[in-house]
Amino acid sequence: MRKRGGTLRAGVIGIGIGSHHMHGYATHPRCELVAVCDLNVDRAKALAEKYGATYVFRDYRQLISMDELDIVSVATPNYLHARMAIAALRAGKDVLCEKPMATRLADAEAMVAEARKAKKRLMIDMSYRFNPLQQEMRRRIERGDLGEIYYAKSHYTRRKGIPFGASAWFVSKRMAGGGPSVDLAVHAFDLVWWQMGSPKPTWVVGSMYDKLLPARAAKAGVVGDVDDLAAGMVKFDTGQTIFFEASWDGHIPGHEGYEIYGTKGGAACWDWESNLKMVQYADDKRGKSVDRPVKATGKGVNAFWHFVDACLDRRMKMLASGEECVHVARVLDALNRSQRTGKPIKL
Amino acid sequence: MASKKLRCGVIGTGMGRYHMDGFATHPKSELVAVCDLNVAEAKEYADKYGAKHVFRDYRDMLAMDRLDAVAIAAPNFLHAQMTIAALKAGKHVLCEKPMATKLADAVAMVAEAKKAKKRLMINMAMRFNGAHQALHEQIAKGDLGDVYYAKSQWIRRKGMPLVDFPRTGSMGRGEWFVKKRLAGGGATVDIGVHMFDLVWWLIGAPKPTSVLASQFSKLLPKRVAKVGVKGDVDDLASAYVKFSTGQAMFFEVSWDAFQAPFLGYQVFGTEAGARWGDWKQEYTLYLDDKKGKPTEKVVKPKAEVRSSYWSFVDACVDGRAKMMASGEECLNVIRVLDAIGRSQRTGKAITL
Repeated sequence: MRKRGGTLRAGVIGIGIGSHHMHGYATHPRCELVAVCDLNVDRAKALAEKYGATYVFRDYRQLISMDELDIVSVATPNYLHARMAIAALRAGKDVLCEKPMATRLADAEAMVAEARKAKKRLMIDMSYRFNPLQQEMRRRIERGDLGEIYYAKSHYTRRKGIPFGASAWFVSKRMAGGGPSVDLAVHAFDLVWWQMGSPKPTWVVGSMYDKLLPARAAKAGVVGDVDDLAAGMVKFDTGQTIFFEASWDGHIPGHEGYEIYGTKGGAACWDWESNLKMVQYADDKRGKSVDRPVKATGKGVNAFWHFVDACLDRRMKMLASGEECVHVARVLDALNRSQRTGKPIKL
Repeated sequence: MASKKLRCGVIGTGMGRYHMDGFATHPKSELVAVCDLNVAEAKEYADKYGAKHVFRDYRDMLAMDRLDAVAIAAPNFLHAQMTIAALKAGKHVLCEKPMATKLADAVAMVAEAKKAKKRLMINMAMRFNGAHQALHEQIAKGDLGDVYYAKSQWIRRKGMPLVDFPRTGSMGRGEWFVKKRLAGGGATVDIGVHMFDLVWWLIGAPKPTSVLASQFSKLLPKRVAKVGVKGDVDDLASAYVKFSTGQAMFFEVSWDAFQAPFLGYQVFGTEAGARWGDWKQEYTLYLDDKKGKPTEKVVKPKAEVRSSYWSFVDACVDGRAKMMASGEECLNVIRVLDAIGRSQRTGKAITL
């Protein structure tokens, strides 16, 4: 890895969620944004200017073949993640890839294999983990404040939340890989799974429905063939259990949040997207129930800064590595198979 | 026999007191016998409801000629034995939940009822609440469209028998509650069966095909040890059940957990969804108006409905009356509870 005075040079492919990546790189003291790539070159130019990047490309292959580039962010539609991430890793870049890793499990596994082969960092942008309250709760759990975590539920459901505005690819199975079973479930599941210590999944039983989306998509003049609600239960080799549900639409008010059950205490949080609130449940010394709001003790870093730090210090333990997140991809794939076959899936 | 009242006996003065009240209140029934190991308490209740006969041994009660129906409100591990004996003695039976502690026993109970040609009903009392009755009717009528997914949840915090409930009340009495051999399970069979059955019945009582579930006993052992009892039942159960119709249900129950307590269900339909909680006499319907805008409507059912005891008496008095919560129907619930236990024991998903 070539560095210029200890600063890493980053390039971002995709100007949608990619703009968050650009902001992250541009603000990290030891990183600079040098290249932006998108089919919409005008928009790419505008963002490049905003964040001080010199190079603008239309073709991602030109970006990743830049010599003076250390990091690449892949923030394009889901079906392009694997192809671009693998190409970037092969070109000797560390890669931060948007979630979900890929639209097919085999592709996600190929990304991890390539990262290992290329000896490069591969991280997935599991941004919710980096919220200071989530980081605080993780510290408390690791410290044993909640005791042994045996069970958790995670919800990411919406009413009238089909993302038509975003882009037609969101509701196309080929391009997105799935609806909320992929888009929202990845966050919902990953968050509690990570808080529980990332155990190894053994069994998955789940369902996916598309009861409302097809008609809504047709009304919006778009072909939609993804699910609008997914739910499932996962058991792990530790005996721990997770229930999660994710939906873009359903005739029930939406809910974002989780509940974590421990032998000495519990936690719950809600409103991941806006203003995250978290509470910890425990008993006081006299055995009386006490609920206390959780306050972050550290400021925490965002996912982009964490990635840059991990690229600067190769010995640092990196959160949400491709290797770790492929377990999430396995579970979501199993959910899919459980629906298709009607059977429980053994992992 | 048309003018004579249905003569009822109740075994067990714990939950049994509610059965007694039900039988004494229905115009077509009368309480004639009460049985309990604690004879003094049995007599107290017998006097209260004007029942002439008091027993210590249930077999003596079943030997009564002038007895038409029996309610069984003894500890769970006695349900099967007493029910089968009562059916064999030619009595209709209203049995407390859970039907039995073992699936094989529940199967035997249903078989005996069929053989004896007598009514066997399980006291799924929650179904008889006006709110759930009204929603059931709406769903059956198609108001919610195709009901595809549901959640049934009852999480108690500090709601454990023996430690969180007064010992003299009808709930949580007796150490049998926390012993697997005697109760058949903990939170799962005590309160879980109510919420599972209720929502399963609401969505059309479909045939279960697979179950992935866990049962935990993380808080219970220490807490009941504090009152000198050794407990080995679950304090929390969580299950995901898929049905042959394509429907799915998430179900969870706990006696105690470090969480905010929660009681309620959600039913997702293609035309509307419904949500109920906290013992309210109402539910909320979520649906789109003609312009496609999301709206909600609180439904407060007006009609008074009969209690489960009333419904049982009606079914005994009129052989053609359709009976809710028959032993045969509730057998499906026991199949799921059994699968939950097996899923926990084996660590695997269970295919039914």
